[in-house]
Amino acid sequence: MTLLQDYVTRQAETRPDAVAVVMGEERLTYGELEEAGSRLARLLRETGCARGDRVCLFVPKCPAAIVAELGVLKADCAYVPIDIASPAPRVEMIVESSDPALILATAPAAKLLDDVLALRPGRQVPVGSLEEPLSGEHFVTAFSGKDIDSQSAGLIPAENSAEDAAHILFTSGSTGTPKGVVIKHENVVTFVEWATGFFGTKESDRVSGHPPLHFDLSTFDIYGTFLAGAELHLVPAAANLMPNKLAELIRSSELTQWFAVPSTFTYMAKFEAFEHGDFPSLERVIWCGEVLPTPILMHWMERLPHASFTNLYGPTEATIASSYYTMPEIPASETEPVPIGVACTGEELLVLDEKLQPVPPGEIGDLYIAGVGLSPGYWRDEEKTAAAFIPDPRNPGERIYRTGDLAKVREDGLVDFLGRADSQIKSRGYRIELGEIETALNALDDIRECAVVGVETGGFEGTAICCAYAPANGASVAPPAIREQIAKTLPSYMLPARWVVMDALPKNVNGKIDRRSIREHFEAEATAEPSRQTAADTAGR
Amino acid sequence: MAGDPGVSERVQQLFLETLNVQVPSEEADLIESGLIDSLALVELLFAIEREFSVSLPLDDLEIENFRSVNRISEVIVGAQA
Repeated sequence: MTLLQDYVTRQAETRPDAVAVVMGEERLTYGELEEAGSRLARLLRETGCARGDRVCLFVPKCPAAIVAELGVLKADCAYVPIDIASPAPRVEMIVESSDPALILATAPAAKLLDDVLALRPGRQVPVGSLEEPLSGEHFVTAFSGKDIDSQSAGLIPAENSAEDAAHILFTSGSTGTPKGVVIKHENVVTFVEWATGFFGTKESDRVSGHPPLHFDLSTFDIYGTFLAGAELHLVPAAANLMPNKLAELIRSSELTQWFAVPSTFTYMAKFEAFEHGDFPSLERVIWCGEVLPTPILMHWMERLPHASFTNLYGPTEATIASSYYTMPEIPASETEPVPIGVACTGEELLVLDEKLQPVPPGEIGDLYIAGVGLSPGYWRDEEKTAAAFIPDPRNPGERIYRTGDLAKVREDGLVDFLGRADSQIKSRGYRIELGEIETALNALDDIRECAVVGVETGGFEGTAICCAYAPANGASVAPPAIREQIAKTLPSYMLPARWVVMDALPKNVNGKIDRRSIREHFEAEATAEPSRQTAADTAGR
Repeated sequence: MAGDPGVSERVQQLFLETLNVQVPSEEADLIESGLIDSLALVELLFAIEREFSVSLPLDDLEIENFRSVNRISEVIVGAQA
């Protein structure tokens, strides 16, 4: 039985001086990481954290955040990584739902934490700092880095089993409340053991840590690297704005593995951030999270013939990824779709009809996932869990997860992804329920009715979020003012990029808002304004 | 010429028209506040190149140059020179 923290312990025992985590000038060896994690775990126990408790992490991506994750696991608790770029009301919902025994913070998140705690003044939850002591109007840290350092660094025997939760990752919920996906140690262990075997990850690898820590993709970077005893190179969030900086990081850190969401690939390609034969150390290029446009993939493959290219597919509920497809060659044409491939070991992709019967090859059905990756369900939400994780029709003792994706199985057995069956979209790798955005808009007094739709723009962001609204009687509010108001409750990646103000939204015969006609409005606008969709091409000239 | 009032006003107008973003002030930190993300940056670069007839090559892309309306205005004035 393996727990995630065991990977670090093993490396620390045999190769304590090997580098585990790098960011900028900062680096931690496996020995340092192991000791720092054990010290933190001891203090967490002393502060009252018990097995199974949750600890929220208000920490930006940095080596200290990795220590925090490890320390929480070693204390037999589960961590909840907080997106510190999110507005306080949304973070408050996540803190309230996770019901933490403790909050760990560092200075960059202190203001957000204070704002979050202000929203529920009665909450009694201790806050610990990983570095210098912190305080705000609503909290004072109960301990700081000095107290962590004074703990003994000896290994703490684990009480957890691989069946226990390692982390809870919150994703967009269609009614406006984020939902927490519970991930067990064994969910991650089975994936990273498959993946490091499949990719041949080795001690000399230098692996990118690109996705934010509240994305489940980051757990592949972290625990896959530690399993292999390789180096994890964390990519600072700010570098994402500058495609040339991302390229420079791959080049100068001599990364051997680059794993990111497709919008990053598109961004770097459109800006011509790298040349033919660039990144000579790079062995593997991997993407996940949404469809990578074939022309962009061809751009990468043509310039980096020395690297392999693998598409991973899978929702958070099935842990990191459930299927894979490694490109056998550069696609022959820009219109050739890239399949999501075949299931990883221990997992299954099922394409079923509405009666949960398999559809014949070539026909479109709903995509379900079965096997070792399945989360036990949504945190403290039996209803949502029961709706999404249903009994396996072939074996009612087992479960299958309804992804909400549409797919078909090809004659050759490979699976193709064909879009969504509901109003969830992917934009720049973020999974967004359009209903969450509508809920925020409908909460405004100035809005009488609204509809938020996703439109494929051909641009690099994937799906553009488009909003049509009708102001309340007498109100005259322009999109910038509406945008500013919902930015107080929604993270920036959920803010609509395109807007239209109408006297009344179009309705269909049933009196419901006609979303198709609204979508057509934005599609027509994108076609009429070529500058919109080709902005990235032109800017990269 | 840093802080040319004509340029910074036009930049703020571009934020409003292109991104539907009302910039709080010329010195407001656009990166920290999340008013600029990678998507916004692409649209903004394009709009700036069109509006001011300048070219902003990739090698000059520095986060610091986009931190505030005033910084962006300085970059534009520099590119026009």
